[in-house]
Amino acid sequence: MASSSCTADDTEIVFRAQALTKVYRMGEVEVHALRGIDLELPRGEFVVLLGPSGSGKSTLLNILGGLDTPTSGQVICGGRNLVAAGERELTEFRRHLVGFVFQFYNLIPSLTARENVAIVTEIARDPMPPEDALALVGLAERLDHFPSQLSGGEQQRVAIARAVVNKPLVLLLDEPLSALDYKLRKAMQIELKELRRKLGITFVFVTHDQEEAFSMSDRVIVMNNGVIEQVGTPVSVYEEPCNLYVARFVGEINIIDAEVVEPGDGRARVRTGGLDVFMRTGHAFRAGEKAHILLRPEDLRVETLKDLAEDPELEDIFARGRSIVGTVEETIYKGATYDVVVRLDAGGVVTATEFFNEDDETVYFRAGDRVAVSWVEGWEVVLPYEK
Amino acid sequence: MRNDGFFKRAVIIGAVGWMTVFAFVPNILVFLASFCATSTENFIEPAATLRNYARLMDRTHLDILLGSLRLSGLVTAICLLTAYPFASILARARKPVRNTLLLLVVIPFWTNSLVRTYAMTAMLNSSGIVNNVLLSLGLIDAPLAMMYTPGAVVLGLTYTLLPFMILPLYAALERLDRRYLEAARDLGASPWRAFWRVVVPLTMPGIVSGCMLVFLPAIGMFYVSDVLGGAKAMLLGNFIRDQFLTTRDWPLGAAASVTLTALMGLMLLLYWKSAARLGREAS
Repeated sequence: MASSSCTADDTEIVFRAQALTKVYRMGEVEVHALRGIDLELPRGEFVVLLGPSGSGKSTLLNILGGLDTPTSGQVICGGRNLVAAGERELTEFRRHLVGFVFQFYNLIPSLTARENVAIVTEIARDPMPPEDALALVGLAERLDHFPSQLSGGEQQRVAIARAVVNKPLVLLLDEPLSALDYKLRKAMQIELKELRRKLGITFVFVTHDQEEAFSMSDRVIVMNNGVIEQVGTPVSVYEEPCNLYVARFVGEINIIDAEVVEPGDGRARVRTGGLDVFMRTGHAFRAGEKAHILLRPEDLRVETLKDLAEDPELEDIFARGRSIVGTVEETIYKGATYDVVVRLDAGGVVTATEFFNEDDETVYFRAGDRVAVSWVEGWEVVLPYEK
Repeated sequence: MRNDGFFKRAVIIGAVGWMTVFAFVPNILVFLASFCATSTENFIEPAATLRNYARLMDRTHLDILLGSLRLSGLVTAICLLTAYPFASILARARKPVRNTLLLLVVIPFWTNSLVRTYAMTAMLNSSGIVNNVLLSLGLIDAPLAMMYTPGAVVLGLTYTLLPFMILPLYAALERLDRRYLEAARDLGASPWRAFWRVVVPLTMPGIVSGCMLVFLPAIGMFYVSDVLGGAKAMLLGNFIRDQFLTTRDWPLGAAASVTLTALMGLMLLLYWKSAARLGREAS
């Protein structure tokens, strides 16, 4: 697994999951929702479980929250083993230690915002006043409104207030913003980050949206098909994906097939399209092994061969055996940027993201232009070949 | 269009006329009769007196009234306790099972309830099926005297009125949004607590209408008390019937009848008040 999967020793671990599996039986078919999950969540972190639908992230969340039980494995939270706990103990656990927020708010329509929150405080051990919880989410002025008098975002805030009013150890959020429109979702992301800072508790947030995951989290857990693919900070997951799945799932990426010519320590000489180049890599390769070169579109640099011929300085940068020649296939306007799709002479297609020039708002490249593609040295990722 | 308008008007006039002749006028007559005086020749004599209501308040009559309310209350309670679990199962059952169970609830309606009440005597009398089974099993030595007891009346009323409790409860439980139960669970409510704080309040309209549909007819169902309870007037319905047909004290019977109607009206009012409070979602 990725080296960036940090286990901080000095922080308290809130959740510890070991070898979790979950198998659903649907008639004859067995569905493996989780296939062996090991996880440690420190106190006070904003953790995002990121994965496509069906990756097992919601199942994992429900197990952490004591709403579901794993087929095998352990979950330790607050010194107790949730797997061995009875229904009564799980009820206690949900009542005092965790809060849930779902995509659907499940507010009781006949109760006001305050009453919806108060329904929890009457069974909590040491709750904050419902008014304080609602003030935390910015609804101090709307205490006596019924859910039908509140907007979708406000209803979700009431649900969040209700989930944190019992001062839980962890707040578990399962795609809570998916029902909101784009702008409101952005605003709520920022508010949730602030709320976590104010409360100082652990947030575990499930989403399939990589942008949402990156903008909020201290730590991203990328899940796929019931296993954890990578754990790390947003930066490390984006910059150093540990396999092709993660690389493709978070953002756009160019994948170029290559062959390792000369393995080395921390770097390797790699051959692709007649180009021999030293690349940084953490993997130990054998000579002759196939590999993938991964490059983010925004790390690529494209210049026309014509410009290179006219500008010796530019040519010098591109000529250090570190550029690949190809033909522009098309350009795609993206607003602030545009993508240049280049078909390489050696085979394969790469996409480079270019910014507009300050003084020129037209797309510089034309289909059919002969270009050289280079990249910022050291920003490439070389991974072992996968089918 | 013209014809449509005519047809619509005809239907409305027909319905209103029917209600006026067969419901409104008789009720007005009964209401007026309750203020009249008794007369040996004509049954009633025009007057404007509250004497009949005063007579209703005497010891024996009050006992009948209270006894009747107690009995109906008991029947309502038994119906509620039996019907609630049944209705929950019904609401959660898969479609084929649910339809079969609903059919079982409805089938008794296909037979006249008086006939069904007589059928119960065949079950309950000293040589009836229940006694025979118990005797042959050796559980009892002598036949149990089940007929002509308050217990038999309660049993008969419960049997007759149970569907009226099941159906509104089923409707309420079926509409119940399961997501509220999930919310209760993830907010740390025990199943017991979720039942009392979520399921019961949300199905309260069903509970109340079921109780009304059982309690109110139970007070008046004199034939059940006649057939299974013997000569004793256990229900207000029996008392009213007796005043009109046996004792021929029409004003007293009318006063009892008006009192019963007023009681029902009062309870309906209470229900509407509580329903308005329960369903006070903002418009």
